[in-house]
Amino acid sequence: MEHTNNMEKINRLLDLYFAGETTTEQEKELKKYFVSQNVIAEHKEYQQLFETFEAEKSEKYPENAPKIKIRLKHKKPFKILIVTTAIAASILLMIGIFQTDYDGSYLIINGKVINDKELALKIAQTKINKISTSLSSGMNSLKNIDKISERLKPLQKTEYIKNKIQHTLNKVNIKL
Amino acid sequence: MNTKQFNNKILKLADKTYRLAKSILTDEHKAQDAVQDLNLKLWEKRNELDKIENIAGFVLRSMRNLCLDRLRQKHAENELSNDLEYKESDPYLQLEKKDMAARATVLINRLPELQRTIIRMRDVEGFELNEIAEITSLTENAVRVNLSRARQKIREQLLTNY
Repeated sequence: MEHTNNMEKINRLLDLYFAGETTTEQEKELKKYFVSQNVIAEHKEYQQLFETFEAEKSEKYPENAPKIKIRLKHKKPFKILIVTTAIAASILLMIGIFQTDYDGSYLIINGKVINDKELALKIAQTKINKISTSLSSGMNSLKNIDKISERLKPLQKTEYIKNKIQHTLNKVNIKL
Repeated sequence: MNTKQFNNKILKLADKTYRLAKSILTDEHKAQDAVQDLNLKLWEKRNELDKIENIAGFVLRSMRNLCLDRLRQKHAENELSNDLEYKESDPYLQLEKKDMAARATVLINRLPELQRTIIRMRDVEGFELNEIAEITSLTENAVRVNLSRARQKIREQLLTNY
């Protein structure tokens, strides 16, 4: 009974199909039936048509057929080098920034590693103070340069005096 | 359209354009040439392709027009009629006719160009009527009428010769 109903449905779909009135869904149903093993004798003449459609559907453009060759543009090596360098530099910079939270050794004195943060800070402070004191005394000596410069000011007039004397002597026609 | 987009959108349609060209020209070598020529033409105009909404429809319509031009040219050269109906002259196809599996192909190829293009677009490619109308530059109703005629002709011949 079910088989008869199915065949009636297929016959109805076939009539619609040849009238050009089937939907794509109904056509899929017909194709499914005709590629199955359940095709009845009276439908055999249509089977080859639907099998042909299926066979043509799988036909591909031959591999050995002429093809236009379109290649993707390759980036220039120099451009790649610049980009790579920029990325590497960025990574190094990031590492440098995050290194400030480094929690390992703080100071090395004469090859000896000091891991004690407090002690390292104390030693560093002492060294900085020492440098600062040395700089202050050095700066005192530099202040004397100002005094010397002040004393030497009259010497800047030497050239002017020399020119005046030459001018006077020229007038009396005597050369130095 | 850049190279990558051209590869993805145009060259990927090669199987469909080839099947369409083969259906119209009924010759696989001529169909291959047509596909190559079309792809070259489209590549030259790739900058204009971005403006097209339905690129697949446009490409298939262009393929059909190119094939029709070739058929007209061939018919003009041979001083044949404007009837683009396929003439079964190839002895290979005569032999093929005996093969039941290829018989339907022969019957489809005997249809006028428009009918065989429409029946294949629908039954092989699975296009909707409005899509076929766009590709063939016909109204949807004209597509339905031609599809119906094509199927009726095939049915008559299948029933007569079986």
